[in-house]
Amino acid sequence: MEIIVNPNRMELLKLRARLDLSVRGHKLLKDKLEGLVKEFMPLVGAYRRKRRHLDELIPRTLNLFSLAAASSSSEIVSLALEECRGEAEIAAETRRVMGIASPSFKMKRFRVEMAYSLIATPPELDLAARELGSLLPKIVELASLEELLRRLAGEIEKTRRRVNALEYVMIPGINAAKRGIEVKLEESDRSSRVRLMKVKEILEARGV
Amino acid sequence: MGYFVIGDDATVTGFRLAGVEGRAARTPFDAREALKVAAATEGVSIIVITERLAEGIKEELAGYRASGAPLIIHIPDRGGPLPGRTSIREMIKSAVGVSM
Repeated sequence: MEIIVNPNRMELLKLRARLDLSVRGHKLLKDKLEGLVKEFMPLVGAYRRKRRHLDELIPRTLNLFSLAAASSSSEIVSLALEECRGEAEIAAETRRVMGIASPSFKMKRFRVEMAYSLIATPPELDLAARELGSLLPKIVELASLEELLRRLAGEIEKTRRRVNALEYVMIPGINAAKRGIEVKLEESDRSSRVRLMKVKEILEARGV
Repeated sequence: MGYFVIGDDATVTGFRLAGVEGRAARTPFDAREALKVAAATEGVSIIVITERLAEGIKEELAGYRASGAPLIIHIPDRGGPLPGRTSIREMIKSAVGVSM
């Protein structure tokens, strides 16, 4: 990025101040980026573990339910479903990692009323219901973690872009403009010195 | 505060067993409608959607995600997780710069 300014001392001072600020900002942002990545990596590990666990459990539990539905009549199952009432209380909090806020949900209370007939329904149905109930807190946890990771990833990307913009565009641009002004100022300095020497020479020749 | 499930019939009925409300969808169009219902339902803080359906309505989900709550989470359906799940891998790649 080329910075076009008038080549004078005032602009040079301004550019020096800008360069100073950019270098300080760059260092700060780079530290922030490192910190973010440091926080991000262990969370990715935890997310992967939890995700893998749920990826195994959910299909297994749903298959259990299908087994239950297959081993009894559809009316019995749908009747049983009618009788199921669940009540989940999810507490919303805000989790902050490196200043980035993300909603964090936790299941405080979960109650499911299975008021269906235990005699008419197959045992797989009870098992599936119990398993699914135990899956719900894990799903909440994973959803919160995923959201946090998503926000952290967004912030890391934004910070990286800023660091790169400062490092490869802003700072070199300011340096180039600064050098340009310095060269111009030196040039005008030299030319005025030569002019003065010339004037002095003429005056001496005239014998003044 | 609660859950809302969008998925195939088996997933939705399965979750209903645990007392979770939901809406079955077969096509992306149904899923879009279900998503609207979920967003409009009061007290829903987490929308659980099966991966297969989520694939078809990526843009809408991204829009809802950008607007904040409720949280949206993808889960595998009875057939297991979809191979080559991209969303989280892309996210890590964009953040860290390398594929993991």
